[in-house]
Amino acid sequence: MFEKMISHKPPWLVTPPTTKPIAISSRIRLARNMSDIPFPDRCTDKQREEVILRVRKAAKKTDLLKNAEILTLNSLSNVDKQFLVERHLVSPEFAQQTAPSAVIISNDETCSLMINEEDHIRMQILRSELNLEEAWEMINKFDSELEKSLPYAFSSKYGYLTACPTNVGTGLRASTMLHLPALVHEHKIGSVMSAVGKIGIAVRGLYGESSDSKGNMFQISNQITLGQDEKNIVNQLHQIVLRIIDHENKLRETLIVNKPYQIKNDVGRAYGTLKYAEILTSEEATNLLSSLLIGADLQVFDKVNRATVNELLIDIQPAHLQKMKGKELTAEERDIYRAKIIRNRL
Amino acid sequence: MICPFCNENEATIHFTEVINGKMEETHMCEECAVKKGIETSIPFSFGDILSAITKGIENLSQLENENFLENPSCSACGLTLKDFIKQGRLGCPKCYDTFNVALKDIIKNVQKSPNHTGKFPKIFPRDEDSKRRIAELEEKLSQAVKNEHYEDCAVYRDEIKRLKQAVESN
Repeated sequence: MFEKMISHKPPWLVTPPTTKPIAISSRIRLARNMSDIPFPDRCTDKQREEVILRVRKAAKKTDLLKNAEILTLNSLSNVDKQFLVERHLVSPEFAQQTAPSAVIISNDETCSLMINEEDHIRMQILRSELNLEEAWEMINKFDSELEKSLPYAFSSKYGYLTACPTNVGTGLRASTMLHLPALVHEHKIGSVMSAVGKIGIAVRGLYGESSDSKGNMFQISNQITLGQDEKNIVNQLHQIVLRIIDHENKLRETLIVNKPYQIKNDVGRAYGTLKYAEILTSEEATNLLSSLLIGADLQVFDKVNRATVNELLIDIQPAHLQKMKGKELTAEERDIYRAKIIRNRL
Repeated sequence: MICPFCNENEATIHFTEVINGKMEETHMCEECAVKKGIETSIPFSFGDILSAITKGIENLSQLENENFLENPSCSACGLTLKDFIKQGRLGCPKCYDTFNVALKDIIKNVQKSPNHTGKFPKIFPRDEDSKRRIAELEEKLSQAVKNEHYEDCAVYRDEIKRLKQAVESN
């Protein structure tokens, strides 16, 4: 399975060559639990195994996961687990667990289902660009198929019951990954963060909970899960993302008019470093690749195409490099191999 | 960019102020931003949840004078309020009933409203379950009336009404 994943790029990253999306991908996840078994934190190993068995059986009856492979966490190496995190198929918290857990991933990587993360079930749909509504429809259908064979923990007052009260109700978290170099460059990202924060929307750096961002990538997601129905949550986030994209676009237009040489200089220098460096850390490479993306988007630099840069952003992550190389690499070895791959592809 | 206030950390907070139509930008590190009282947190961090939990407990401690952290524990999974504070997670679906009082405040703080308005599983509410739940709630309601816990009464009445409607529509 991993071999296939390495040789293919994830479909949610593939976009038509004509589009220049600021929204890279969209995701919706739902949290669900069984009514008759404690939440994973308080489960015995035996109960956790039972949850895996039941969910696996139920997933077999769904359109999306009937032919999917199930990976039990204890069968995976550390590199395998990290690879799935980098691929956005499991959460970093999930990868660190030691008690019985598993993940089911559809062949095209659109759908994944973590069993025994914080909740018994964390299912997600990943789509390219801004496609939240489509993702909601897909996951809603999938969830309705699952519920036929699983007794969900549900109360008419609080909705779907979850281990943490921040997920209770719809159990829905919708998020979009955005590439916002102009907002970062012009120091406007902070005001975007605080403005949307007031209406229950969080902005985070791409990998993790901190507000630091690698490669000017940000994840925008809803925080409220109770008291608003799913369509409302999804639609509200969609509208907010559209406004952020609008801001980013306007700033880009101003930048290209007011500071054309500075932009071209940034992009050219990024290309020079990427093309000729012998050692590149993941952070440096990600930031430089972000500059190439804006060069491609603003059509000020014609030496690279967007698809190559998008693929590199995924492939230069630590576990991806090790999977491609076929062995474990130290941090120094990775930095050298990363630089080599980038040199070859540019 | 190094924070100009402490000259130590990376400036990660970029603060824009508009005063009399003139825009001013300030850059600083997170520590200095906190010292200056600038809101940098994302909404509903773990800290927010914890403070909400604490508030919930204060309310609870007014009702239960002693042992309120150990007792009641959840009859289904054994979780105590102390465990919940430590982990920030509940133990099982039943905990939502057991810690109803504390949870009400937490949910008020982190969510939009205390009532679910989204998707219902097709097989829920099964009439049998609902009828049992209605009976339970009616018992709780009469207790609450007796003890003059009028806020709780309203909550129970709402849920009973919703369940009855669901049963009828089934």
